[in-house]
Amino acid sequence: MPRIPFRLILAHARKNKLRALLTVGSVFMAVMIFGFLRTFIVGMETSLNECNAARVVTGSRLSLFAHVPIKLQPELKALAEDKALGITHFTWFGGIYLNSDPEHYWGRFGVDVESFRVVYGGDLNMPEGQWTKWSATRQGCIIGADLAKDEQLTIGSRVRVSGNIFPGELDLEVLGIYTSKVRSFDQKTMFFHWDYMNELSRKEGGRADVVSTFTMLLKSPQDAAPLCSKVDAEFESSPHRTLTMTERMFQAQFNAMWGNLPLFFGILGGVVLFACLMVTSNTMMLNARERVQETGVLKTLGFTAPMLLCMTMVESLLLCLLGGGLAMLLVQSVDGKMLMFVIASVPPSTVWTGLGIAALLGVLSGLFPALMVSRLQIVEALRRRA
Amino acid sequence: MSSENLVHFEGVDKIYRRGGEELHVLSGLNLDVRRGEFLALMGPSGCGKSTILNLAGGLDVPDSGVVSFNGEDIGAMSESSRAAWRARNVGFIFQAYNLIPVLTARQNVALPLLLTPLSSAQRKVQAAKALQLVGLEDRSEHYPNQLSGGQEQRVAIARAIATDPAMLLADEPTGDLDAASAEAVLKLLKGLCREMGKTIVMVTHDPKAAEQADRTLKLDKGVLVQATHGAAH
Repeated sequence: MPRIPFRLILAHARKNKLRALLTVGSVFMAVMIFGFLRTFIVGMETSLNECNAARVVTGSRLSLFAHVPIKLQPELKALAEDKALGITHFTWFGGIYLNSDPEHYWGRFGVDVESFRVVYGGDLNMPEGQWTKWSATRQGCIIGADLAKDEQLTIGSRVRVSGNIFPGELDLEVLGIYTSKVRSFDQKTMFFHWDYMNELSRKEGGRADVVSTFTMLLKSPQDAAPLCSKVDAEFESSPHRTLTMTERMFQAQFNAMWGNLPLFFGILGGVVLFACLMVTSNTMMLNARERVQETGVLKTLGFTAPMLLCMTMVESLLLCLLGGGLAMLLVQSVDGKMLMFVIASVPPSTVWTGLGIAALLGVLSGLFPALMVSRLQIVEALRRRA
Repeated sequence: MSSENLVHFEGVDKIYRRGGEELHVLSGLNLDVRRGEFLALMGPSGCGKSTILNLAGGLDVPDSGVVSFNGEDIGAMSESSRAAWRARNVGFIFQAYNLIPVLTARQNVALPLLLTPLSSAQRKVQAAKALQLVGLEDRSEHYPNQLSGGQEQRVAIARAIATDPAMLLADEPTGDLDAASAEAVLKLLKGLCREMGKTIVMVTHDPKAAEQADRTLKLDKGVLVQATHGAAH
């Protein structure tokens, strides 16, 4: 069986290094953009899927950013009767750490340590000693492993955060570093005592005795829906109207703030891939036109039209798969890391789809030049100069 | 057709069509090329010399008439069969050498061997032998742009003989060469004919080059007008 002259295919790529590099680069960029967009969307979906179905979140009906008074906690507990294993609360502190640069912008929440552990302890890995020390230390905090790495913080590090929602400056000591057992709980967040934050805010004349949300952990996920209705009905006529939903719904609402990202990303990715197809097609057509005479020589030597078609397709596929492969390596390297506000998730399907897109680009951009090359008449080809 | 003939043209017509115009390049051509013969074709530009080479080498097919090789009608073969037949039986030498610029001399010579069942090691040996035969074994790793015109043409000859074909078709092989290189190339071709029994058909404008052939045919407007025998006969 005749062999494909791979040496010749590689030699062609080496001859026009810049052109080959630019082609590989354009495929790399397009597939990388696709990969990151898909990773982002899969990350959002994964965080939704991994939400605990037995947890319900209660916040203000006004908006996600409005506060509710802490005094609702015993009332919520009473409404849950014996169906809840625990109830805790979160308060988004916001604030500025070091400076306003985006890399220092991560989640900072005031919580009640004991109830936080009851409701969310199962999602985290952290040594018992660190839980104990944090619980006993008013100005202590715990941080996610990714945050510790990014900000180069270790146990004992001091963290000062200036408030911009609540006044005052938090002066905290890192007492624990957690890792997450589930993707719905990210590793780039800091938790500290709500009492400390609340007292500081009151002292500085800011808002006090308020929280962002309450979370209840129920014994059975089946109790979630009736409890949501019951809670919201109870506070319907109060000054603090609530919106209660499952954790999954809450996460979905949070994601929805970004609009229809899958559609937007789909259009964006499609446009980028189409532009890339134009670039690679142009390169392959240019290559084929430059090698008209060479094609004539190869046919003269006995290389058949299908072999030449195959050679052009292989060259196109190699360039595109190289770009796509490198892009997917980069995309895979962010698996499990924070990507904007979601934990990146790169399942094998994303990698295979990325490689498939690269291969499709290779086939589509190589097809017309390959057909042109295979149909060239030898006598005509030998007569023509590139 | 006599069994001593390798190539046989019988009543061959070739017409090229350009922009609605018909150009009769060959008209009822009859021609025999004997086995082991060194034949030169001469004539003014456009008289059909290269067309004869193209037809003899199966690069093109006649509009009417028969071109046969060893009794086999080349025009009746499918395109892929003709390609396989070319790879086995014909070596081509061009005026402009037509080496692949991105491959070394050895790689160029080994290129047609990819179409044979030889292993990689056997192909290397065969390519080295062919380069040795043209006296360029020490230039095997040089690229075409690192060789002189004469050396390039010798690499092209090595490529043409690498698969050990019965026939070599040379289209003005000395056209782009200086006198010394041209002489070396002609000597090489003559040697291939005499010592290795290759049948050679060479198109040339140069009467000195034609003198090296066993027989010279002159064409005018697609018709053979004169035949002379070279010094060897």
